Amino acid sequence: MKVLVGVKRVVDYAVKVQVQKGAVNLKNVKMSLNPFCEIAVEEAVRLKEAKAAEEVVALSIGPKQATETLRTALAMGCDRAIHVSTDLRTDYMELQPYAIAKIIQKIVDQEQSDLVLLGKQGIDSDCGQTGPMLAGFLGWPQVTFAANLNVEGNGITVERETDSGTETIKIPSLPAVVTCDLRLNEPRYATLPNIMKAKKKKVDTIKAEDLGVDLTTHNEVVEVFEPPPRKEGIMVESVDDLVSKLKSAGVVA
Amino acid sequence: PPLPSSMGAVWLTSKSLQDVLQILELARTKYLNEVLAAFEFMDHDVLKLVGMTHGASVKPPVAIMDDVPLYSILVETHGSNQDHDEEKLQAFVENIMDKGLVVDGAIAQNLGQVQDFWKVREACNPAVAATGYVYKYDVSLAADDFDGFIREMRSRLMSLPQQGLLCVNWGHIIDGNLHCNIVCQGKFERDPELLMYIERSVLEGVMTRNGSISAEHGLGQYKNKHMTKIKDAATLQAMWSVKKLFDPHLIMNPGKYLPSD
Repeated sequence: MKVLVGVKRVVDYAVKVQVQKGAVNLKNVKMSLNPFCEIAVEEAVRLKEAKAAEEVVALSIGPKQATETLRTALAMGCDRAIHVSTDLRTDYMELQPYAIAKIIQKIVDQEQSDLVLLGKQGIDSDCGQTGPMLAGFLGWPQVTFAANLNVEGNGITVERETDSGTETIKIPSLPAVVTCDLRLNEPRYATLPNIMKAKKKKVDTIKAEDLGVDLTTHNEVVEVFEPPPRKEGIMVESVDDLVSKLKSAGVVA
Repeated sequence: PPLPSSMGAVWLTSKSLQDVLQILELARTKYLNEVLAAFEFMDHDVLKLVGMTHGASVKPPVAIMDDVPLYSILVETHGSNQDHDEEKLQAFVENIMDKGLVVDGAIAQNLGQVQDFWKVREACNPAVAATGYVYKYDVSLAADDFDGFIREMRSRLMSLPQQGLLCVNWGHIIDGNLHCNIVCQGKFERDPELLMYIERSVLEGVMTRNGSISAEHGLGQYKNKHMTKIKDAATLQAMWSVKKLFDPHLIMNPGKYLPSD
């Protein structure tokens, strides 16, 4: 099977984002591979190591620096990479899941992929829409929030996270779209020999405008603001004081 | 100073302290320069202890092999431009690999991984403390003297009848400073005879190499009796005169640093 893995370059998980001029400030801010995409890459590489996949291609949509994110994916074990270049913001401000899914669809058609692995959501936009939209455009079955994936015959059996427990979904035959969740695996480190090998792997760049996809921002972002700061608490002097304050606030009878 | 906006880290393993020192030199003077923020080395004896005490919760990025004696290094970079810093780190890594100074390693791909690298380094002290009573020495030596000092300490410990004596080392080698720790596995009480033997060995090992036993933690209370061996009487007299000038009633840090006789 040929696997296509989506990798998104996002603000690093550990960064405390700030809002400037109505958008998240991206200047001088540490950027990394989206954690859920990292899990998707790890799963794809494991499929290759288990000889279930013959080729793993990593795909990223973004500016020139997205090739660095692709290098991480290559260092983790992907065979080659495709960079769809665009200077549009991919954190929902400009390029949105509808267009992103359309772009990925074009690449899937080009690559004739059998399985598309994506992170369940980008930690910048937190949409979780690209996977399901892509499956819709392709007319393929989808499983989202995968916590376990097994290849069975021509298809896959996936355990899926839900609010009330785990659901097991069987897709009897590929192709399919799977979005990956936290419990699926623990991604490997990018080790030195693999980082060096990754430099020699092929990265093809295509301009987003050349794909014939409508890149218009259809949804308008009206406002972006930081959550209000935590309000100061009230100090109480005694248990009686606490109880009376709780009573007057209607918290206890 | 403001927090650096760009933070990176790489974990490296090397076969010898000689290689570690060459890597340090290249990092400091050629490839990382102003973005070099930390350079910590750990010998694999201490990392094996970390494996035993912390289990799977703290895993070195590169697995510790049983037989080959190796050192691990944590290098951290701080800067203001991620692209620029990552380029420098890449060039550094390529170069030390080309020179054969590195056996393996991993580059942190996000800030979480940088923290995970540090967790390993920070587990060294607790791991050793959980293994047995630790005789700790903070020694300053010229970088080239570390190998010989460690070898000497280990052979002196091997000549003792006690079993389970380990000499484990780690340090901010960038400052020329080694945390030399001798631990007796499974024994949690201080052994006064062993202490004297160890202290004598450490002191001689350091003095013959023109090093210092105070390094960053200072002399405190335990080590000032050794001052008489390190500095001659006239020097000590001079040091006392300066102290009495500032502290005529000897109320500042009584009993510390200078020996009372």
